[in-house]
Amino acid sequence: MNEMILMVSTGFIASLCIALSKNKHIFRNIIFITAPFLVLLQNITYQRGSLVNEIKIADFGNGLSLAVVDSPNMVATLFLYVASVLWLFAAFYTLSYIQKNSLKKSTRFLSLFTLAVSSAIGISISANLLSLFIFYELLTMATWPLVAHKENQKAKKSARLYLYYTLGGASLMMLGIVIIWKYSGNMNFQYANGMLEMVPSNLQKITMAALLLGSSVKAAVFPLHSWLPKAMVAPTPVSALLHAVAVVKAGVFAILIVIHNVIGLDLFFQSGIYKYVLFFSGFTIIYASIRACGEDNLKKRLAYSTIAHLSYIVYAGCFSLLAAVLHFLAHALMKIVLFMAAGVIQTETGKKKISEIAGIGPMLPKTFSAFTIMSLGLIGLPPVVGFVSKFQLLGYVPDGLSSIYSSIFVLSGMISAAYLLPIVIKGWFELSKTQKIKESNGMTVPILIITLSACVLTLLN
Amino acid sequence: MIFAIPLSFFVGATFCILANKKINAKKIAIAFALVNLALCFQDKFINNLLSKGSFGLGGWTPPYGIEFFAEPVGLTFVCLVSMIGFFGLMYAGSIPSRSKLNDNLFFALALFLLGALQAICLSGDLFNIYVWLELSSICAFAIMGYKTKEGAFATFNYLLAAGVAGVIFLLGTGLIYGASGTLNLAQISTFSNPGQSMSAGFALIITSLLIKMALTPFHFWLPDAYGNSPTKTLGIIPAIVTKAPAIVLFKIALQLHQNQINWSNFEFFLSLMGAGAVIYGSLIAVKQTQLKKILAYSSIAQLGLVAIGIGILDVKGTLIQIIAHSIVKFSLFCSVGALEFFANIKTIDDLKSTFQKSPILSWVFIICGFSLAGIPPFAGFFAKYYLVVSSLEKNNFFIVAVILLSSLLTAGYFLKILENIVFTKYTKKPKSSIPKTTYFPIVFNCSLVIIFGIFLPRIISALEGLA
Repeated sequence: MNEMILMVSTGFIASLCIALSKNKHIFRNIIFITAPFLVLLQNITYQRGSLVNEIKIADFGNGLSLAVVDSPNMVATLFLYVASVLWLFAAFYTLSYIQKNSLKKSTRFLSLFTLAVSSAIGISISANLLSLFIFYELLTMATWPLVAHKENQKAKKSARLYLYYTLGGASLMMLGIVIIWKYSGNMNFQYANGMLEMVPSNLQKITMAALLLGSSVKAAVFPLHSWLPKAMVAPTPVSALLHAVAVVKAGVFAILIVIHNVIGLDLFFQSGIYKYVLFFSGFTIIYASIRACGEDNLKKRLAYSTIAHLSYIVYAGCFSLLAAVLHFLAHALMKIVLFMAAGVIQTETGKKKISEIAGIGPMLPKTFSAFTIMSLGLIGLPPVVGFVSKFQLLGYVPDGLSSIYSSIFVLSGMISAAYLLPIVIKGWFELSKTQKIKESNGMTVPILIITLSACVLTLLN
Repeated sequence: MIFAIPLSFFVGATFCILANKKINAKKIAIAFALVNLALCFQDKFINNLLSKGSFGLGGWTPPYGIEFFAEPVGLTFVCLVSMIGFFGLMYAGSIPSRSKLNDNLFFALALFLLGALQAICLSGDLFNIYVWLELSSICAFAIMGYKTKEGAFATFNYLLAAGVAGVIFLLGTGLIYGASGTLNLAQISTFSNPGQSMSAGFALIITSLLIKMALTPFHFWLPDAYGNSPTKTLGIIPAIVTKAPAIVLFKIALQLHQNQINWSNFEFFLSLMGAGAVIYGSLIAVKQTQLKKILAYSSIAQLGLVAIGIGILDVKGTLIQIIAHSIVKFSLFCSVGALEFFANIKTIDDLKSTFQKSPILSWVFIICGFSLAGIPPFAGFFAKYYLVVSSLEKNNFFIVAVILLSSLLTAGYFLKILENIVFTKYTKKPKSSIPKTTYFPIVFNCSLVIIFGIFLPRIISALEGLA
């Protein structure tokens, strides 16, 4: 059996085992922790095959198949690593979160959580557009019950909105995929460099628009972003791993491969469609940053910040894949810590709003230190990896666009400071008369490790 | 030999009438359905038929004798009827009858219905198609209104609609006979000079078939008829009865397209009506609270996709859609029937206890819902995929948009069902006692939804190659 198929199926089998594990909670928890370990182990040990080697899981005939690739390209490899490494930390965090909050229907939660992350891994190593689409839909279906996990009206409504948005996006993607399949027959994208030459010119624009619009739903680019803040009703592990890393990064990954592999940079600039991508992502950066300032709910503020930073990656992805990928990694590390810290704050003190947060620093020193460091990173200050990635973003100044291009990043960095620093200042320096709370190791340790590794990564760069 | 296929059902039906307490009708019916299934799924047999094509009953050659004409579209449906029929009869047998009358009549009628449905798709001549269509309608009336008050009332609507449709069909047949002097489909389509009356004849026949397949402006009889039919019939009627006229329509469309009569007008109307059905059916389904009604309107919407496929003459998409929708709707209607009969779950709000009462049926709902919405890799996905491909070929972007929108619209009504099943507080009610014989056909078909998702496109491609 191929290593790559094994890697995808590990998660799916684990998810099934968890679902079938009725009331044996210890057994269930062990599987939940083992699955990411196994995937990570496979990740470290597997050997990259030849570039074009694709392995079919299911063949649908007519050149349609569900297949994975032996050696994913740069963006895909990075996505694969980010997802599988952070999955491991998130798994520990999730277990103690469930225990602390006594979450109901936890078996369903863990099973779907595993399914969702493995679909994200499937997305990263899928060989052709159809496989990408299948995993993409699977991810949607696995996340939908997770968003509505609290099962109240608000949660159900958000989940419904999420499903409508993502299904609509998927329909558009399907249109693009059908057109590409019909005219070129070849859907292997990993090392493609433009797949639209065979498509007649009147359909080219439609294909590009359909694929870009379809994938920008999950990447939460401006008019299609409003599901993300609403999806924050989900339990925090979902927000942390799925809505800061797996789901939204799958969307960004799709956009990046659509721009670089499917459309190809030449056509992307020739056809002028790059202007729209730049405009919408640039607008999203500023808009979401400003909206974040107005949010009092901590998780929602972080969600708007996520929207802004996803558009950073899209924006940068138009010019330099390297800068985009670097920020992809940096943002994943930083945002998962911020969300996890928000989860700890909520679990330990029951505080969800920023206005209630005064004095949280001395109460939860470890967690809030990590929060502070990562906030600085998100603004673009050292010592975190965010500093490096922002440096890279600014370093790739394209000709002719330099002033607008860099001013957007600088401006949004300033707005980031405006919405993140008040939390930090309030948490540390506005003292209230509360006791120090013992932080549970299960939730704090993953946060600290990720923070540390983010700092180390800065040095490695 | 080809006559043996529907004949096995008719023979079974006769035996069912004669059944007594020792050998009850249920067993006879299932046994003959099994014979039929075996006949249909012989490899060599199907290959043989496909190569030979036309068969005359009793050695009489086509223009004079009764002709059966084997071609991939019809044969696929015959196999589908055989399979759904077998499981439908099994399902019907597992539901205990509440009235004192024995089952003989019910199973006899059901077998006649299945035989007639197969014969419709094998017949090569318009008048025979008419006869079989009427036979199937009469059997359908009888078993839908079988000993229930609501059923009888709902069936009356169906009776009127199908009766009018039958008359129109006959009128069309007459006009075509007058113009061409023959009723054989293959001969009519080679007729060199189609006049006004011939086109009018086909227009009438197509209208009649549209009424029978309940495409949107003519859908009025369907929701009540499905919504009130007794539990036993749910395995047989909703999944396949409206598909048989669709297959006939498709055969006629393929024949006409090859020849002189201009299909593009029909293409425009059919795909427009199909698009209307998709949108209308889905939007009305959102407002319904009765489970059976939701499924009935969903059937209307899905038949809209079939009509679109027929309009744009897409063999692969249409066949996949028909098969996928049949097995999905079979599983769903049977689940709803079982839940209603054994657990008293009738409306959307009642569904909240489903996961507690029957986890298996809840999974059936989830999987079938995904298939209806066209989520890969379930069976419904590739139907949409190939329909989009064909409508792109025709440069019909309106239809492309409707097909893509249909998955969102499906989510609109099916999400309400799924939400009630998945997101509810568990209560400590005892499990309901749904017998295993009821579970088996449902679970089998539901697993087919997954398996067909992978294999159906290849099977259909192979059939296309044979044609």
